[in-house]
Amino acid sequence: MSTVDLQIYNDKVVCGKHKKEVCSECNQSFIEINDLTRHLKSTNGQVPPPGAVLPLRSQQIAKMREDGNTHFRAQRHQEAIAAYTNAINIAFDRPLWEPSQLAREELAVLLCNRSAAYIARKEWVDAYVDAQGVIELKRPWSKGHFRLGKALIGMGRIAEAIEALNLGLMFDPEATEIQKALKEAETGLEAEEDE
Amino acid sequence: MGSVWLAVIYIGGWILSMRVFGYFWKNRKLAINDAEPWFGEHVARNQYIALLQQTEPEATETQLMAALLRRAMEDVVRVLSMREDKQVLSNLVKQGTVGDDIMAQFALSEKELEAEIMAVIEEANTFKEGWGQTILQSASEMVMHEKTKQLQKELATRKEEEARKQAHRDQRKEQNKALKAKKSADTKDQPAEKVAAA
Repeated sequence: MSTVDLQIYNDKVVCGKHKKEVCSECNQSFIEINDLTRHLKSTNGQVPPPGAVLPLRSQQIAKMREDGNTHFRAQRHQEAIAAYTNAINIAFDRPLWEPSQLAREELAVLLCNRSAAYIARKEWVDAYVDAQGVIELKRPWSKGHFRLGKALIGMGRIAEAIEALNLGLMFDPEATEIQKALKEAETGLEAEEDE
Repeated sequence: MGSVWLAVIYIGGWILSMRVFGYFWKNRKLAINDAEPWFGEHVARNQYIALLQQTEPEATETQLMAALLRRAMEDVVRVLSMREDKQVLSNLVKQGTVGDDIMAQFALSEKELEAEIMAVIEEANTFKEGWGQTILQSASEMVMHEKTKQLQKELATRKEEEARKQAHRDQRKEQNKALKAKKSADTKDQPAEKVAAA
């Protein structure tokens, strides 16, 4: 059992030799402990009971999402993306002991909305990566596959788009937007082949 | 007379070979105990213990709680990992692909992990009566939540990757278009050339 060379400096746990939170030379990382300590301050040093959620944070996130939605409906897509990004950053900074399922649901919706805003601005790569995230968090949600499909069409990857859209249709056979997108993709494919 | 000697040598030979065997067998058993532990260093545990020993300044209660939670999280990860390994291992041993000594090593590491978890529960109770009961549950949730957080780092790297790949794709599309345009321009010119050559 080897001992860890650490010290406490400015209320943070750092490595003994270089006073760093993350030190490649000492091969130590104390950032996890420090982040967790920071989050524990919000419970007033109480032991976090399982399943506890701080309502303030949830409210903040919900408000930002609403702001984003308002911007989106008013076609102010750039502002929508900024609002969603804010909400996403706060959501990713939830304390670890808050239920992960809650965080996943929240993030899936936020990423999906941000993806829609990126699609509206034709920023296909950002939309694509966000949609991938949605699918990883909530695979059976047809909207995620829909966004992925639209992004792929925008990038010119029509065959992959059709695959993604069909997968989405499998989860929700009634989704009219997916059916529309599929037609769009298929016409795109024919246009390509005619070139 | 001769047959008594023979008997003595026979028995002596047996005793000798038993002792030699026993010597090698003991050495093998010791070798297993000194063998590599199932997991590497328990970093989270070492950090917790080091934090406890801090004197100037002392670690705050919150910092110690955080360190204990990280230690519990690592234990949860190890328990899950060992459960998987147990399945795989028992299959391999049944097939005969690996020997029994690995099973012995595994069982030893299992006992160690049990002791470690007991220690964590005891430590938790020193912070608050009853925390020992819930700390492992919290730690399990935290392990799952941490996986979700990894996604955040992923998003940024993926966006860079995809942007590069898309730029390549667009470039190739442009090149193909230019090539096709050039080809159709060439074919248009050909009939005129043929007439001129004829």
